[in-house]
Amino acid sequence: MQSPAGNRTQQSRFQSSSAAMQEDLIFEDDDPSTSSSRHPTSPYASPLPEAALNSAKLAALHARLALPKKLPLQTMARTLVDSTADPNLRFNNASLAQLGGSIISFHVAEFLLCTYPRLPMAILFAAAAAYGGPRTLAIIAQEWGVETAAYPGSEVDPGLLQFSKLKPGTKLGELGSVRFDTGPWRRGMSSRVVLDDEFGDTIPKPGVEVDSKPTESAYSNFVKAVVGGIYAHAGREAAKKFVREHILSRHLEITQLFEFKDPVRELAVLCKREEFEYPVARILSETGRMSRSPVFVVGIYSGHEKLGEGAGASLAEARIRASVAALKAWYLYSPGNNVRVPSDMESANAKPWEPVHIDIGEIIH
Amino acid sequence: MEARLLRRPVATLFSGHSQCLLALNAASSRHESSYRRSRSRLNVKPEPSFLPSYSKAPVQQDHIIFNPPSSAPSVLHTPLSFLPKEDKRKQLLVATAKKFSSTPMRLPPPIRTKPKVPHHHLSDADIAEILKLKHQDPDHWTNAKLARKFNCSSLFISICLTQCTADNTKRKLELKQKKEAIEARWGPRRRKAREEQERRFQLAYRGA
Repeated sequence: MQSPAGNRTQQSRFQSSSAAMQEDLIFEDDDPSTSSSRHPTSPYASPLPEAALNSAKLAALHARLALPKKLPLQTMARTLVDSTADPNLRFNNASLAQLGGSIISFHVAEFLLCTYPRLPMAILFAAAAAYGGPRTLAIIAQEWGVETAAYPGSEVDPGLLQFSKLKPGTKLGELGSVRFDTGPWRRGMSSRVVLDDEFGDTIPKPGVEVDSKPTESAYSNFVKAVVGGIYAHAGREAAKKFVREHILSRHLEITQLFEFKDPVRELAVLCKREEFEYPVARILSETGRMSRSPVFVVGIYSGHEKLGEGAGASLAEARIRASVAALKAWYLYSPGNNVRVPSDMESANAKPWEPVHIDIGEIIH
Repeated sequence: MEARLLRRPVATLFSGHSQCLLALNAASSRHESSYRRSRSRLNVKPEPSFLPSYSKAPVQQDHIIFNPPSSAPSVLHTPLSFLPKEDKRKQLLVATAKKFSSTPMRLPPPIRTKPKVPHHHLSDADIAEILKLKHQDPDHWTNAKLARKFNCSSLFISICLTQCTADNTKRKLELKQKKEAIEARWGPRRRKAREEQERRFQLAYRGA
């Protein structure tokens, strides 16, 4: 078991005994033992896995979140180490965060698509970001009572979130993307769907520092890593339950996300496409015409059916409001409160699947 | 006070707002002298079912009273025609709607009774004429003038002229400067009113 690198192996840390059996250690990103900027009392970039068993904060967090017993404290400690604190992939939460992020965005996407099958793409992106975006995940982590360490190191309590803030003078690159963005192409909704991330934001070029909010991204990576850890240790059902209870249970005022450019025309195009009668604006009631503050209540009718209703200080404004209400009623159609999602079929003795409503797409005018 | 009371309706007569004549009746002018009068008139007894249980004559009931204040309908209530065919609620709602709409319903009046200009009455020759006139003298033949000549909407003219290559940047700049000059003359009250109107319309487009 003697090797030229034996001296260094003794100083290194291991997650399990099988790692100690390896003769040579290959440091992929950075050899933590060669880093000279660290204080002698803090030999490693992050706390040792054994320290997790003695941390009151970590045990309290595990109990507070009612996490499954199968999720060990060591993994819980690893979810709190951001890649900016410890670049070693075997000790930071990057891999767990990648796994958990995919699980979160999958459950959010299937929930949104099955609950509101007619949402336009822009609203779908905004709603996905509101449920599982980095800002929301950071808020969730703060609501869980996770605090940050002032500076990462092996002497830090493992129950604290460890990450490095930006060094003074760091140049933030332009919001780059993996493709040539300034070409003759327009960055439209279709290109967002194909080329960008799950929230329709550009994916930064590797190596370019674009994240000006390291605290927020560290918090969101922690939440993703917790979901990834639950999936890895306790399985699919537990991860789904956790996502449903902590992320999908949040209230999103989805009716407030819309903004229309020309709602009257868009509604006319919709009625033509769906072969409804041409929408006509009708005055339901009015008061104070030709006065300083009139109120008109206008309804949009297609044939004998009222599609939307709006009140405004002028007929034009009330008509716009009524059209917006009708369009929102179209886009926010929902098959019901507890819509089944495809992942429900993975549970044992699930009822046969009924196809969900698939819309032909948003209105183009 | 008496002089002002008398002067106000007379002044409003000259300003041309006829509805201000209503200000003459007693209920709309609120003063110390009319306080008791209007208060006693507005003191309406509540509906007996709304009396609290600790009142002297509580109404014995074992049902829930649902009487919400009048408000805009929720956009989460999908109209019947917006439900897709395979939705199970559609058949139920169609049956209910049929039961209640046996009598022909009178619809409220539409906002605009008839369009001001006829539609679909111009031929290809007319459109070519529009383009020719615009090319000949773009400064003279503005959209409004062309619309008046051909008895169509100026929106239709602008659609026709999207393919017209006449250079209108100079005129656009002139119009913009004219508009800015007019806006510069606005006083604080008009400016505030216009800004508020713009903000109101922005909110209307968001349905907020």
